[in-house]
Amino acid sequence: MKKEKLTVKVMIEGDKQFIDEFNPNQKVQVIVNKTLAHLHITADGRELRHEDGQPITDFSKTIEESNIQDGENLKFFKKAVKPDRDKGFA
Amino acid sequence: MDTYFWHNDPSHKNLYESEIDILTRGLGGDFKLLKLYDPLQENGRVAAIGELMYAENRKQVIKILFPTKYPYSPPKIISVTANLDQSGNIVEPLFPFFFGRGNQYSDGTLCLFRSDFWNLSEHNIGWILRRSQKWLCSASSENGFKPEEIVLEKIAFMNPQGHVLIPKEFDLPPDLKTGKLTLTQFRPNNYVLELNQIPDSGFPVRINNEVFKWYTFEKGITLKSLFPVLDGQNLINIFLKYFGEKIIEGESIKNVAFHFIDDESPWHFFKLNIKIIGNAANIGILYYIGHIINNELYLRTKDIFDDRILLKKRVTIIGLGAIGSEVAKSLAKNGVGHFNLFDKDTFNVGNSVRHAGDLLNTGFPKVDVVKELILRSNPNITVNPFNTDVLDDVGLMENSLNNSDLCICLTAEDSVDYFINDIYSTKYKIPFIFARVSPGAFSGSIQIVNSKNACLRCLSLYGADKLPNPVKPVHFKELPPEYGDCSNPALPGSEIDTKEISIMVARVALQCLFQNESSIYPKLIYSQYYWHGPFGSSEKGPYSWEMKNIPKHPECTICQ
Repeated sequence: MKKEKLTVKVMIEGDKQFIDEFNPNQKVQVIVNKTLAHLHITADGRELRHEDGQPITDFSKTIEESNIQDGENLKFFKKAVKPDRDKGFA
Repeated sequence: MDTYFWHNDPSHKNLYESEIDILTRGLGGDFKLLKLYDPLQENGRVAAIGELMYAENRKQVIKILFPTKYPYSPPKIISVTANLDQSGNIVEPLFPFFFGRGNQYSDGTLCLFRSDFWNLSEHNIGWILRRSQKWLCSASSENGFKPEEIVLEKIAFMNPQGHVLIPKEFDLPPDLKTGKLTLTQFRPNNYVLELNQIPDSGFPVRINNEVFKWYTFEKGITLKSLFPVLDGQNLINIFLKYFGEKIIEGESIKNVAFHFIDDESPWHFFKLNIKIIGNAANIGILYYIGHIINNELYLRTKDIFDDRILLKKRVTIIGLGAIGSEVAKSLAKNGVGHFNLFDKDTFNVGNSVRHAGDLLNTGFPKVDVVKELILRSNPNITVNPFNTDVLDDVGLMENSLNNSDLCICLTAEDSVDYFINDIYSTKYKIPFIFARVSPGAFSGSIQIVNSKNACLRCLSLYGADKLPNPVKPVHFKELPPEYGDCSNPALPGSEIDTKEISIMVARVALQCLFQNESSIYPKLIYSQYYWHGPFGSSEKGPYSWEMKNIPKHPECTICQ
């Protein structure tokens, strides 16, 4: 039985977003590749996360296996290191 | 620029839609959105109500409140008790729901993580909701939060309407379970305990006194164990069980104080408004949280200036003008425990622009103004105010210096400075600090006189008892005599530049007090300080301190 396509949104920094439809049996790598191409970015230093913050590390799994839901807002931000600022008080 | 709201910012359009989408779709069935508020209803904030599932089939109604500057600050999650009408709509107002397990703020907000943990490019509302689920599981578990999960220790079982300041711990009569305290209201819903157990202490404010009946619980009973949730029925039961009192009888408004001997915060105050409707009692509760000042006051400074040392020190200050008032206030805030204050003047309107006091002090002796400032910093400090001329004194100065650890002379009057220097600095084996600013407060000097360093006369012989001169001479109009003392007219000078000297005087005073004590703060090295202010001087650039260590002069008749 052919499964329904899912809408997946991928957000990156600067409020940029990529939205597309995918088959549940497509690999996560497809989402990543399309996002990179569409938003003209590279994967260097980026982390893919579910909308509840859980990381998605295995891009070879299918969208269904990775439990990505229809309409989900994935995040594909550059791994954020908070600025290393000296502590102080005011 | 108009008021910034994140949800109106075009550069956050996708973020806004994504966050609302997460709430709408419900986090894989773990969240059910009940209401999304129009931001106009919530003072511009994006807010929502929903049911959050946790553990197995448990749910908690929460209010989600995005700050106006999201995502720079995380959303708040508030656990609430919500009623639904027949159509399933939320009935306002909502009341916070307290789990009584700690890690929750007094308005019902869950304390999910330390504020600096929030990372705007990594976290979002989905992450917050997951974190909240974990919080709810721990809060409703048998053992509560694990030690590593505890961010906020203090139990908030009710939102306090105000505070009760208690200067220090005191013993209740051992054979009594109840008694009376008189609290003084210094602002609506805020009180200080200054009568009964603690005579002659407290803040110098007396607006309105109210009597609270205290009840003390046996050892082992804590607020947490007794009041997981505070409600009227619980109160009725507790009064009956522990004190044999029917609280619904008698006066309809009752002021009560609960004392839990084993709790870190032992005092909790309540105003109960009891209404009997038919056979039922409705108890309105206002809660005031008690603070024992001695236990809380110096927590942020004690590692720098050990209050156990400073609270034993006594400082005599002569002259409580622009510099003296600030120095006294600063020393009090840093932990000095005893003061003798000398000044003969009265506070005038013109004083308020550079004195630590303000316009409401007009007409009062400066010693009383400064005493009030000191006691407002710490009501446990002892202050002896002497509204007298030190050059016409009949023993108060000698008595004061007999038990002082330091004398600070801040009159900038040659007659007083030289009298203190010539007569007292050689007789008393304590440090003396003299300081003054130039007209305009564009420069200043501080001299520390003790048995090793140059006295004022030595400095004169060296030509070092001076104030740096600004590069360009600055001239001022003399102030009319009615705005000062006719024999000692006020000099012009700004508050901000005068305060520079005050801060340094307070700093070296603390160093003097710690000179022979164990402290991590650097020891005093220099004994003469010269401030080259906003214009600088021919020797130094603007805003620079010059520090020296001038020895005694061999021809000084005072030191020899």
